[in-house]
Order: sequence, then C-alpha cells, then structure tokens
Amino acid sequence: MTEVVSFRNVGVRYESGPEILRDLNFSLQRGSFHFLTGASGAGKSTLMRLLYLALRQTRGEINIFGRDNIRIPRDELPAIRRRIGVVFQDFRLINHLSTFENVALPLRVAGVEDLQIRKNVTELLEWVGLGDHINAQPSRLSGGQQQRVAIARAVIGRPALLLADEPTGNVDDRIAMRLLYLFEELNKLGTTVLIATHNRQLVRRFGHTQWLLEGATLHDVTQSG
Amino acid sequence: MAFRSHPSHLPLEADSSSRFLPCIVALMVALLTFSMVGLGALHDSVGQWSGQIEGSLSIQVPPTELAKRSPEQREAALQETVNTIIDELANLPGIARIEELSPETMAALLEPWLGPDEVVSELPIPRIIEITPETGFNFDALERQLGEIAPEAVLDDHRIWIERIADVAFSVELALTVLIVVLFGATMLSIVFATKSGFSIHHKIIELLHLIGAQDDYIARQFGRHSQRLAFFGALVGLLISLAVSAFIAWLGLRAGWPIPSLVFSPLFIALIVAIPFIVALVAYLTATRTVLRVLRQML
Repeated sequence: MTEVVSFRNVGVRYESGPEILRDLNFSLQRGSFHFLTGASGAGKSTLMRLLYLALRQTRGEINIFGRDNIRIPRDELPAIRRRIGVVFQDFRLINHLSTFENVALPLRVAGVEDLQIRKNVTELLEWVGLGDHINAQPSRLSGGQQQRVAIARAVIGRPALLLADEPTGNVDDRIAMRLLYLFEELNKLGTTVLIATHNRQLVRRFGHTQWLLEGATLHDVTQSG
Repeated sequence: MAFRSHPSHLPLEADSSSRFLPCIVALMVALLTFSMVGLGALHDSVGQWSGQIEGSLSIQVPPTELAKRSPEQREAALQETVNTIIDELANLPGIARIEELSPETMAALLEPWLGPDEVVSELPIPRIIEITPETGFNFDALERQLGEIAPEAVLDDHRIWIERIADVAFSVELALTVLIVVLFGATMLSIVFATKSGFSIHHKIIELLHLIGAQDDYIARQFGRHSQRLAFFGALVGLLISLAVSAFIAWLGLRAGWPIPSLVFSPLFIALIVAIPFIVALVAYLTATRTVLRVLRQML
C-alpha cells in the first residue's frame, strides 16, 4: 500500500504554551479507514488541521502525498488541498448559497465546466438523499441534512483523502450510523478516510483501526476496543 | 470595465450583509457630485456675469459746468458735448456700439425715485452714453481720449467690480475645489473602510474557499468583482440623486427669480461627472482584492 500521509515525531504547540500534540508517529495508507477518538480538547481538531494544511507543526516531519509539507511552495498548496476533502465540525456551509451551490464550490474553484458541475452535483445529492433539497438554503435543512451537504461538498472532487472532524457530533445515533456507512461506501471507492470523533461506542460497531489521542500522544486502541 | 463578462462563481450579492456598501457609496458620491456641480455652476455663473459686465461701459456727462445757464442753453451745450464724444469715440478701434441713452429711457430709469412728472426734464441730470466694447478693448486709450474731449465726463468701466467679483469667485472656487478634493478622498476612504469591514463578515467564506483549494487570485477576484458591482451601483444611484437634486434646486431658483444663468458645462466636466461611478468601481475592486489577498497571506 502507498502512504498518503506520514507523521514522524511531530509536535505542535501554540506560541510558548505546552505541546498540544507530541511525538506523533503514524501513517495513513491509501484506501485505509481510521477512527481518531479522544476526549474533547484532546487535540483531535489540531491534528485534523495539520492534515488539511491549515496549520504547521512546530517540530517533526509531515509527508502528504509524498511531499514534505514545509517545503511545498505556497502556490502549490491549493492543488494539494483539492485532493483532500474535509467535513468540518461546524459544517461551514455558506448560508446564502443553495445546497447545490455549496456542494459545487470545490468544483467551481477547480475551474470545472458548468455542465459537468450540474451533472456531478445532482448525482451526488441524489446519492446522499438530498435530491429534493437541491435549491434549499442550509438554514432550512435539518442538522443531519446539513451534515450530508457538508459530506457531499467534501467528496464532490473525488478526494484521495477524506477527513471528517466530529461528523456525528450534532446528530442522533441513527443518523450517525447512516453517515458512517456513507463514509464506508466512499472508502470502498478508494478514498482514504480518517474520522475524528469522541463517540467511542459508535466507533466500536465498525471494525476499522481506532486511534486514541490522550495526553497529547496517539495510541492505537484497535485491539483493546 | 466589464461587469457581466466574467460572472462571479459565488453569488455573493445574495448575501444581505453586503448591502450597506452601496448605501455608503451612494451617499458619498451624491455629496461629491453635488459639490462638483456647485463648483461648475459657480464657475460658469461668474464667467457669464463678468462677461455681461465687461460687455458694457458707460460715460456720464454731468451738467455741473453749465449750471448758470438757462435750461435751453444747458441742454444745447450738453447735447453738443455728447455728440462730440460719440463722434470722436466711434472711430476708436474695438467699439462695437456707442449711443446715448434717450431721454425717455432716462426718465423711465429715474421714475422709481422721482416719479413720472415732467420735473425730470427740468432737472440738471447727467447724460449717459452707453458703449459696447469688443473683446480686448483698450480701456486706457478710451479714458485718455475722453479726458481730452470732455474732461468733466466720467468713464464708468466696471473694472473695479469685475476685479472684486473675480477675487471673491476665485476664493470660493478654491474653497470648493479643496472641499471636492477632501470629499473625493473621503469617498475613496469610505469605500475602502466599507469594503474592509464587509470582509470581516466574509472572513469565514474566504477561509473556507482557501481550505477547499481555491487559489488566492481566484478568491480575490470573486470578492473584487462583487465589491465592484456594489460600488458601481451605489455610485450610479448617488450620481443620479445628486443630479436630480441639482436640477430641482435650479428649477426652484428659476421660479423664485434667482439670478441663475443658463449653465453650459464643458465636455471635460461632463466626462468627469460620468467617470465618477467607474472610478469608484475601480477603487472598490482594487480595495477588495488587496484586502482579501492580505487576509489570505495570513493563512498557511
């Protein structure tokens, strides 16, 4: 398997504070599926920010798609970010845009033709069960529907790596299970998936690798789960 | 500037939080245009008033030297002096017309003070000769020759009034020009601040676009075009409002009998007024793109 991401002795601290993350050593193989668990404030979101290139480590080495993240020129970062789909904890949907336009954003910034955008977005919204809400604004959708819009936006560009930060945090268990099955479907299509969640009970129902972020370090808890 | 040739991929105009920008721009542009029209009107008016004053001068021939003579002798002597002045000065270069004000006209001019009685004809009032000079007329030569023909005659050439009007007009025009420069600066600054404050609202959208892989230039252009459209619309509304208000004030003035001359603005002035919305739109575009690029540079 090919490494999509690898961390070597990575540490993060904000200004002169203590290290929030330290000595992280792991890799994500192409087509793998991982859960990242940990209590609130354990540093899951910080780790996710490192992965979607919104933050740089204070020490150590991160390789992403075979490139050292520190050495990537700034003007090449957008192309790499397009290979990463992100489902943000707070969804980050743009309220004045329709469901369709929100999902279409990654394609628009990539310069995809309108006709192709219409076809792909419509198909994907049907697939996530939002075919009847194409023109609805996010504020008119339920929490679960908004979550699916955020997921659709994250996967519309067929990313090689999909990161989801607490995607089940705002929905009940039934919808949470449906969302996780959706991620599994995407994973079967070849996408590397990393899901950060504090809901360990939900995670145990799936047989994927589980990492626990505790005491600023990462522990593999797949076997003990 | 093409506003529709490259439509925004983000329908930002649907965002109600952006609507205060055109309002501010409209207000500032209205004030700016109003001041410019005021300056143009003043400049044009002063020019016309000066032209009217410069376009005429008069000679008074007083009867004081003839006070001891009988009315008939006095009138005959006065008429002879007037005729001599007219005959001599008519040959001077640069005089388009020279004629004496008729007794009827004089009586009509004095009627408000002296009444319509025959008494006017019996009073030793001066005779008035009106001269219409051509452009570049030599007033000094006229004054010199008049002194030789009739030393008692007085030349009233209005030059002191013209100089005073020119001084006052220059001061007011200078003050208005400074005001316009200040207003233009304030308009540009208000666009800059309104655009920048608008971006604090859009900060999350900018960050999102950045994280989903948009190039900095792409994001900056989207917001630049958005601000450009809003600013152009606001400036156009402000321009139309100020022109309508100016026209209304002029109409009120004409109805009230104010001395408002018919204004004819130069093509350069009209071009400047028409250019305002385009200049404002350009400033808004540049401000928006630079602001967004600055925000993006702070991100990884």
